[in-house]
Amino acid sequence: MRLESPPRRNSQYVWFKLNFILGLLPPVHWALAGYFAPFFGMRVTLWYFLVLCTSIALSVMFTYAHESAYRGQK
Amino acid sequence: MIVTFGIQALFFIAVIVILQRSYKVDRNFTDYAVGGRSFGASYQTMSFLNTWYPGAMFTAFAGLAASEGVISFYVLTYSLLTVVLMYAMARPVWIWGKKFNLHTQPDLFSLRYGSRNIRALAALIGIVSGFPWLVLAMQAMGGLFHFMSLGQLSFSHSVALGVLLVAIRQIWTVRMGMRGVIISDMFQGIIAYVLGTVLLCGLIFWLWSKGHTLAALPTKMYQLPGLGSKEGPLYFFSLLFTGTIGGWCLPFIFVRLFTADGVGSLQKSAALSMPFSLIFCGTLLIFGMLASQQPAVASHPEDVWFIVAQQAGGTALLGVAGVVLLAATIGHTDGSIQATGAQVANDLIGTYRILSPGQLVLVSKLSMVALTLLAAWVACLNLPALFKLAVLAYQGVIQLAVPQFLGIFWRRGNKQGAIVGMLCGFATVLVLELFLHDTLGSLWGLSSGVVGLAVNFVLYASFAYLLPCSNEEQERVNDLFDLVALDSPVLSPNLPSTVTTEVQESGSVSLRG
Repeated sequence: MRLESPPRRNSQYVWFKLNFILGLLPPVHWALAGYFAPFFGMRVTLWYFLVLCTSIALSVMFTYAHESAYRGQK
Repeated sequence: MIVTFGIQALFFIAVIVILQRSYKVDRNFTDYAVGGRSFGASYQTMSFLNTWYPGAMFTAFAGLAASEGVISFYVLTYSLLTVVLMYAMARPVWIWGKKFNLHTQPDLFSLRYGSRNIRALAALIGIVSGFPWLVLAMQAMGGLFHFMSLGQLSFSHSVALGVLLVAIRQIWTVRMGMRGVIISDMFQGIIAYVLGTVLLCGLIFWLWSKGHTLAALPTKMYQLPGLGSKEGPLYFFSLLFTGTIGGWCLPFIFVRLFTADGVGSLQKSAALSMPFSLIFCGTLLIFGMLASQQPAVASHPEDVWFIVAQQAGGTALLGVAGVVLLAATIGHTDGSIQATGAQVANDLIGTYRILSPGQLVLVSKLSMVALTLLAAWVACLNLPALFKLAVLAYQGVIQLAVPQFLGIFWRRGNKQGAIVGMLCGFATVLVLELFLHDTLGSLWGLSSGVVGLAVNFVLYASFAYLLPCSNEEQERVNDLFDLVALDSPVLSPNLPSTVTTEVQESGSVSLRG
């Protein structure tokens, strides 16, 4: 029995890369450094981390779900 | 004191009972070093978490959140990015591990670069760099027992007690190897991160009921180092970057990639680790920030976990908080000791002497005993430079990242570039930290490890282009990469494959497969 890995979608690669860029790129940190305005009751820097971290977590969870569904179909 | 120590004792007895009941004789070194590659996604998840998040999360990182605020979220960010790397590496590393019977991270280096010496070098860097962290983890137990004794035990007596407890626990690590580590990680992980998260939510609610909110925190708690900051504009990038790639350079983390029963389990464990990490670590950091408004925390932020637990729920809750931290610490230390013992046998001695599987297990066990005793002895000494040494060690161990990641994802690198790059990267770290520490300030906040990585990378890439491999070597590397190409079969116990029958049990790596 041979099992092929599913083709990973371009959008998944883009999502992974975007997370790395938004997480690691210094200009993003610099842009946030002096920004303290509250947004929906929370400071922007805290929003940044919460949204970024949720996005990183979801990217792997969705990719796994997609790939395991593909294996299930095969 | 009876209540707090009683709760710790109950937990410890439960761990020992679980280990005793799950004891199984190891058939060979693969069983001992990587648990026979038999663990499914749920065990893999808890094992990864229990090794990744040590007890220091509740002290150092919660303390950082309490004293510095939102910058502490870098630990959550890099922890999640590390899991993304795990997902990406799962397929090549697991397949190579299964096919060539790899047991350790240096085994992979040896396979990829076709070199025995690189195996010993990678092992040496990993073992030396991991030792200060092991000692620090043992010493952290001192802080735990100092609190559990409600201040009645002196700090030195608390450290001795903590070291003794960790040493006793290692009897089962030595006896059972990786299987014991992973089985206990499941129970310890549930206590540390599931019970820990429930406790954190309760404490956050208690802090909120006292009127502490995120909106009430001062602006400085939301400050990130910017272009004009005293730490330097690249300081925050350095923290994140070294954290993200550094995790997989630690031998006791990397070996988790070999213990799964298939690529699917490994990738599923990455997917499962994500919500656990996000919720546990996110809750912990928000707890730390909220707790900073408690007057007692402001003066001792590193004790925030114990202070708030005791204030909110008295001695009983302090005892539960202690168990959570104990579970996280033990999971980290036994993983570290097990991986180091396996490396000494497999990669240091095993590289230069042919050992039978039985001898490999014996040497591993003796190495673990020696390491535990040595770390316990050093932990009881009051070495002021230990933390500095540990930071230096981390900047050094991340030099494994260049040959590791490029070796996994790029066909072109060669052993000369890998060895020279690692050595020069490590030397750069040493020179910058020991002799040119003041110059680090003029590098825009870059850590010595990042500078070392840049040197390492340039050398690795230069050797790859300027010193091409022989045709035979390139063909061997191409075969390795073809094996893990996306259209090749995935090896798994559930998926019979002719390739799996080629696994060797000699304990040595066959470079030709």
